[in-house]
Amino acid sequence: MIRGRLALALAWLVAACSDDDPCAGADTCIRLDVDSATVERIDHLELDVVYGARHATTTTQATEGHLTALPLSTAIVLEDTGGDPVVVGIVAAGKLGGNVLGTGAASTTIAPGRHATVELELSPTEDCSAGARYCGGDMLAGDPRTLYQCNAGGVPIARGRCPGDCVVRPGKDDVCRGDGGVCRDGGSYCGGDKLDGDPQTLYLCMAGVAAAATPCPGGCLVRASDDDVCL
Amino acid sequence: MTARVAWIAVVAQLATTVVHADPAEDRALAHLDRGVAAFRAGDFAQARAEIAEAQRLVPDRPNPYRWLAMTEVELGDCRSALVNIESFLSRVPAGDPRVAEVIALRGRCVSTGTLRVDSVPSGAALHVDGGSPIATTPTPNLAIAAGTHRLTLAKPGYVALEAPLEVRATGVTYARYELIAERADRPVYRRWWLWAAAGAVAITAAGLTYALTRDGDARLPPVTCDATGCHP
Repeated sequence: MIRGRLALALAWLVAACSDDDPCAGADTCIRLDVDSATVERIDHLELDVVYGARHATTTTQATEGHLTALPLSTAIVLEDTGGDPVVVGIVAAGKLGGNVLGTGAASTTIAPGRHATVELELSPTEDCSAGARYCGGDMLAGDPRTLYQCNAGGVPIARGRCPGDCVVRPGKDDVCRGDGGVCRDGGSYCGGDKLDGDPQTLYLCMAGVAAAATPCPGGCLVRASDDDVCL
Repeated sequence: MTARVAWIAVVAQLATTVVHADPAEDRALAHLDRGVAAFRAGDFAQARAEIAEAQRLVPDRPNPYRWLAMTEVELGDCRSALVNIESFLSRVPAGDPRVAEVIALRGRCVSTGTLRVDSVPSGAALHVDGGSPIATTPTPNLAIAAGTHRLTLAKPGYVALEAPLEVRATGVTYARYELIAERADRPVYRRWWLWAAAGAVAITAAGLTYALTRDGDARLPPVTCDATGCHP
């Protein structure tokens, strides 16, 4: 009798916990808890997600026309992550009526098949220049070792994680510092790979510095034994 | 004749001085002086109040922003300090001798993060990078250099847990770990089932308390990220 009641109580507890967990039922999942001292409610949450070598931007929202009060929670379900733990960088922008009320950033490392919880606080946005590039934390929310493009109407867009440091340059676009040694004359390199620059731009090495820049809209691939290439 | 001209010039100079005297500037200077004195005495809360008043009185002057930023860094409020650092830098030329100091302050701010750690069960001692225990789970907000750290959680009766964690420079990095009970077969208090039962009681109590007291967080639909991108 007592065992039966205990089993019933535990079943209730498990059910209650499952209902409260946005990751319930997911395989690899990050629970994202969003709060703010200055933002009370939003109608859209824009997310810029860097997961492993991949990058994507998306929006989640309540039923059309409804507002969502903070604190709120949502889930980022990761599929096809392979067998190794992946580093996940998240930048979020809370919007109301098309206006960004606050942005915030967080990151975590998650192993396949596991759940993680990340807390993210939305803070008022600073006046970054639309289209200009900034390291996370310099005028916009983000990972200090990731280069972002300021997006005046929404979440900052990641250009890519820097192989080394991200360098703040007052008055100029921030850049990924060249990492991994000296570039070879005439070779092509993605920004941050042996040359200072943007991870989505291919540069020509001339006398140890970047001499020409080719944008890579599809991304730039660093190759260990050959020239880097645009994808 | 020369004396009369000189006298007229002095009177004119005094008149100009009287016309340009600005009570707000004087009051701001007095607040700033008191704020700087409080800063130097280590009373940072008082310093912030005085300097904020000076800044309010003369919002176009750069120096109150600089002192405000320095005070906020001392108070651990880097988020506000960064705003005031940018306000200061936007009001002075690049060659201003105070710029280097303020940029260094910004560097200090963006290289410090906040860490919060919890464990199941709670009450584990937290060590960072092999040092002495600095807090017990659930920890309060801990200021820590940004970057990857090696966390160790130790609790009697449980296997010590060691894990790397990247602490972000801005915002709060939150980590929660589950501890695994040690296998033991001698004293009753080290039997796994005793602690499992105690844990179940604690979790049930916590769950009931939470269920009865929470307001209920709002929920947004989940996002799924795969090889093709992220989709709502």
